[in-house]
Amino acid sequence: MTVELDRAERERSLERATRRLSQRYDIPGFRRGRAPRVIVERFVGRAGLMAEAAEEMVQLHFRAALKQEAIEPVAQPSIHEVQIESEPYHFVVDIPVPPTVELGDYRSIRLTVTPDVIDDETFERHLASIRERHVVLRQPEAERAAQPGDQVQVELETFVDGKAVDQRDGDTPVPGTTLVLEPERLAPGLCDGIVGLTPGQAALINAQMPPDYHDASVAGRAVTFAVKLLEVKERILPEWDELPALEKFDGDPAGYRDSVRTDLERRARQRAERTAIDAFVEQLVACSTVDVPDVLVRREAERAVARDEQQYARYGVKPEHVYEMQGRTRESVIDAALPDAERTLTTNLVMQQLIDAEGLYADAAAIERELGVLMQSQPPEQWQMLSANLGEQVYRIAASQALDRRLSQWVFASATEGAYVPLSAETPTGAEAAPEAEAPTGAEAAPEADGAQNATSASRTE
Amino acid sequence: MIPQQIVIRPIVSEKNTGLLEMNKYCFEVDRHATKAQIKYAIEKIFSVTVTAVHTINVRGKLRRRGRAFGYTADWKKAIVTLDAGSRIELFEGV
Repeated sequence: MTVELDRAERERSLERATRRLSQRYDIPGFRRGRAPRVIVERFVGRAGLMAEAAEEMVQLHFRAALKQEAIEPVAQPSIHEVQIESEPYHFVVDIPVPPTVELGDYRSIRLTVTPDVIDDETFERHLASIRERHVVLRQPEAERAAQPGDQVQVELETFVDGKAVDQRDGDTPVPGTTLVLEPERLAPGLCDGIVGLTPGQAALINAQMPPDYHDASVAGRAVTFAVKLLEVKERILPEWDELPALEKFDGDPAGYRDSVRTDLERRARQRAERTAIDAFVEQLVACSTVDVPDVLVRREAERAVARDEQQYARYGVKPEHVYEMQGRTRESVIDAALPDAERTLTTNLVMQQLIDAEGLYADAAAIERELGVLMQSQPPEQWQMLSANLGEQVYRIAASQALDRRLSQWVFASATEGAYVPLSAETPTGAEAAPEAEAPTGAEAAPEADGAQNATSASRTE
Repeated sequence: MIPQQIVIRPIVSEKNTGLLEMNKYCFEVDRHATKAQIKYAIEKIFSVTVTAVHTINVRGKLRRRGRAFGYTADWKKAIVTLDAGSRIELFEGV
């Protein structure tokens, strides 16, 4: 914004500046505040007088201009090009104004939600992994050779062309490694090579690694494993019908299998929904026009860096030490965080604009349902404490979650034209699963009567 | 004495600023200069017409430096009245 000043305003400012300077300094021959302008100018220099007058003029007229133009700056404005020595008297001020967001044609965004199909193989593999969690290790009654399915402790070194893949000092012992002797879990040939070894026995195992092996340094190459078997343990897996009890499931094995399958399907839907939402947000941002002032982006980057620094502090690490180790300065870290900050800010602004444009909000009933869910996730003995100490905070979280739920429902309704109903559209499970002990309701957990409205609007603006 | 030896410096002060409205200018001058010499010197230096000269012998002020007392130098002040058409640029704007 360019603010122009007329001659009379300039004269008045110069007079006031003269008075102030004359009050500030002892000018020989004059009492304080009585020296005329020309004397003051000779005493402090023309530049000094002009700077004093300019500061006042800018402060005064900048505020007036902001009021007149009804501009609300979102950060500290920067003033430059102050011209009060010759006409036209003016100054230019850069005012960071609130970002502008223009949503694109978001209603035409279309999504397809395709959760992974839980086939029998996936289901059985998942069950096996649950069973694996309850494995019991047992020392064999008598020392024996390693057998398939055992868990062994070995010293293992890998060589390619006679060179160790993991370099170590000559004195450092070969690190111990725990392996489960199942061919699908180990590098090709390694399992077969270890089976039959007895503790204390060593062997060199030659193997050809497949070209698509995950470790690029050995993929497609002939390797030699130098193995020394240290210890063998038998792995005893629980029987299938023991699983429900081990997993604290109240029901028979068939019911447990059903519940595991339901859980897997629910997680697959959650993954698919997350992917779809991400795709929607990406398309929404791409089709929208957002003008974010640099100063806001920088502020967001500074916030992100401050959050990281808090994390360092939690571990007792001083951020300056981290930066020194990385050979960076705080400023360069902030600069590096700018692109991410801009993306975050843009996404938040676009989503907020969407929420406003569609009039999405969380009503009191929805917030109360979320509160119920939140409280259910805590042990009953903590409900009282949560209500008393974290009432407002818990309420805000609930309000935010209720709004998220509302937003995701809207996204799926709009982008799939109602063809897909998201999990979040279902009633929160906490409300249904209320235990015998009475969970506090939203009203009890709410900090005050009008808290509902406050929290709702807060969540809308966050 | 040449004019520049007679007129030592102009005196700009709050009191003298008021005198300017009456076209009166104030200078420190040589202690031994006469009114006629002052008039001549001012007219020569500033190319103006002097209508009156008033002089004051200003006594030096008592000053103390530790236990020692002394006086600042005595000096002569001249208030010079110019005719209506004359101005001294040195004082312009004051």
